[in-house]
Amino acid sequence: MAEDEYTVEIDERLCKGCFLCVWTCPVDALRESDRRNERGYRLPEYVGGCRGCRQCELICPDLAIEVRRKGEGS
Amino acid sequence: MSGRVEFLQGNEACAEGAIAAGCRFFAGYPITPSTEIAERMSERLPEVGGVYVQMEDEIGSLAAVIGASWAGVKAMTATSGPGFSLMQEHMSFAAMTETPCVVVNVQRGGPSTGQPTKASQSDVMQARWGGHGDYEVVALAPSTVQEMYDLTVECFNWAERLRVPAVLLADEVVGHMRERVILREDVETVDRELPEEGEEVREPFPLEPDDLVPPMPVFGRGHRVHVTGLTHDERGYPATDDPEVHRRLVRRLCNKVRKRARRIHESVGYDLIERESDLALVAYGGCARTVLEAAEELNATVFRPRVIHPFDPDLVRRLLDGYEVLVVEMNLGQYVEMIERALDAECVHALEYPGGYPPTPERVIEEAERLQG
Amino acid sequence: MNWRDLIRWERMPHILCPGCGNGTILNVLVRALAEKFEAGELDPDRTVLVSGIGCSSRLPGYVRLDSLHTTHGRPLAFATGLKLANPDLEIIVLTGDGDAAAIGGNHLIHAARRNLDVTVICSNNLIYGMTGGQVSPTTPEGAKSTTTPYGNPEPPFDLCELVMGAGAPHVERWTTAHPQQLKRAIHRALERDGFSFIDVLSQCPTNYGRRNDLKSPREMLEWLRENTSTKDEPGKIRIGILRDEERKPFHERVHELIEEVSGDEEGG
Repeated sequence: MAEDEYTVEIDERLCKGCFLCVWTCPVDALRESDRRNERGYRLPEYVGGCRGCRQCELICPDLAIEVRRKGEGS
Repeated sequence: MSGRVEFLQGNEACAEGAIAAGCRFFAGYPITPSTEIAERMSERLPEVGGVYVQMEDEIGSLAAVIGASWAGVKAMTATSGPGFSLMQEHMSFAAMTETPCVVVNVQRGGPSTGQPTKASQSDVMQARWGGHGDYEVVALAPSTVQEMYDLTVECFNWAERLRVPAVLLADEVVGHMRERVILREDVETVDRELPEEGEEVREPFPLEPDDLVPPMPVFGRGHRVHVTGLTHDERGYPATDDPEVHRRLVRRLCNKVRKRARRIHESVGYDLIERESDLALVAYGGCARTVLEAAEELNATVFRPRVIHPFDPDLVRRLLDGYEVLVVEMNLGQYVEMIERALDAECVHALEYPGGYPPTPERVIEEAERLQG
Repeated sequence: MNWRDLIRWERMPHILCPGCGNGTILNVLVRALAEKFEAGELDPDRTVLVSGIGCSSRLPGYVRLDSLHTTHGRPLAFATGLKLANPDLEIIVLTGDGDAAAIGGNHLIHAARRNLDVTVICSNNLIYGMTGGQVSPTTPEGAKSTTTPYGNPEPPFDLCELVMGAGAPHVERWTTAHPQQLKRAIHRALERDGFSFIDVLSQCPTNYGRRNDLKSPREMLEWLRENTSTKDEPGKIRIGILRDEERKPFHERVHELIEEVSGDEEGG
């Protein structure tokens, strides 16, 4: 299997666990996890397969998501 | 005093004073007996490159004035009782955000719609306590058409110096009276202190700035400041849950005015005519005109403050201690409450005269004689 | 410019609830602005955010630009003074349904009538969120709120129709389920001279969804996606560009008049 061209980074400090990222992702590259952040919010996790549409990045109400093309800086 | 001599109505002189002070923005809403100020400004401002706008109400008028002030322009509105009531929301906002602006209130009889075409001094307390919260304003009361000009300039200067709303607490008597006035060319104007252009201001609201007044980072100059009516910390950020931040903020908002009370009174001036008498008359604004006449007739001392707020109890004590004091005002007793606080209350008496006209000198004399029994 | 340079990170995370539509609006706005600044089409030092009171009005406090968080319903009146006093300022007004259409309704229609050159982004979440979920002028008939426990007996305002009726030349409606389209709408609004109004149907999971059978932010966005259409479809809310015309903005008319009068003065 070819390695993903993109990766999805979630800032756990900012996330409030609304999972709109999971809802909007057209390729199910994100899912709900059982991990919680310091403030007790349950976190989403990246499971692979991102194609770089950046819809999760744009919808995130907490500005907590960054989609990166691998090998590029921020 | 050099300048052009004209024969003007008080309201017109006020508009000319504003322009001389550097006012280049007026937003207002028509209301008797202040409308001539708006009319004159609508004609004069475009001539000097300024903006006039008639807003949809008085709430919006003072909002637009505050907006213009944050754009770096000296701005004013003018109204009367009912409109002044509507403006209280933004008197409070201007005080909290430390926005220099001038509000002219040509007082008429109230409560409510009251006596639109008649004079009154019943907004003395509202000028200071009208909005919600702890704050102080500067309020000046003119007695002549010349003072409608001069004290409008003073209002702008104190608003700019202290970053506060300043109120010209006029009344229908001086607003509509016509007199000779010198449109002085040598007026001293004060401009707010600005931070360096292009510099991000990280602490626009320091808790203890020099002189208690921080420089004003107006918008569009690269300061990148957040301004809010919420209780804010030195960065301008909301800090509504911290009691100490709130205490320090409101204390500074009040102290920057209170601690200058003497300086403001001495700089703006007051009339004190001392005569060999046990009686002192006290009056301000349009009402003072007949009282000055009565005092002469009675051979009594007379004190006419031009500064109504901030009150300076020490000054009043120094000037009037030992007299039987008769305060004459066109309301049911407002300024007299402040005088009572400064002096032995038993020596303070009031001729409370609402109704639309100042008392005649004869009426004042009658009251004084009754008092002296 | 990277959008990250526009956030006051020391204030993050923000005060908004999990899944709040205002967060998406903040997200989309700072990205749209960063693109405009990057392209040199706007100057960050001359761009000002103005807001009223409510959840949506808290957004300017998170953006590293000059910003004025004013009183309830009045941001457009403050913006009128700012714009007329300094026409070089680009002004974005952030407001909500209660702020813009109830207490600020009069300022809204008059700013539209004058054609004040501002971009208004109205986060329309159908409820007073900050105070805990009271009925607003856009709450649907029959909907539950803390002050309509038996269902809302009032018909709602259509904010776009309202401002178009008052003369607004550029009016669009989108939802927080359409962030890409919303970003393009903000771009257009910033490019237009005059009064641009974007009605953003938004979700308040805490105070609206919870009481109206929409249990999660996701369900609310699902609802927004399914019940809106860019075409006129029966039973659906019309979204998209509803009007895009040109009309001379207020500040231009005022300043032309000033030029004319002050020019006459100097010449005469």
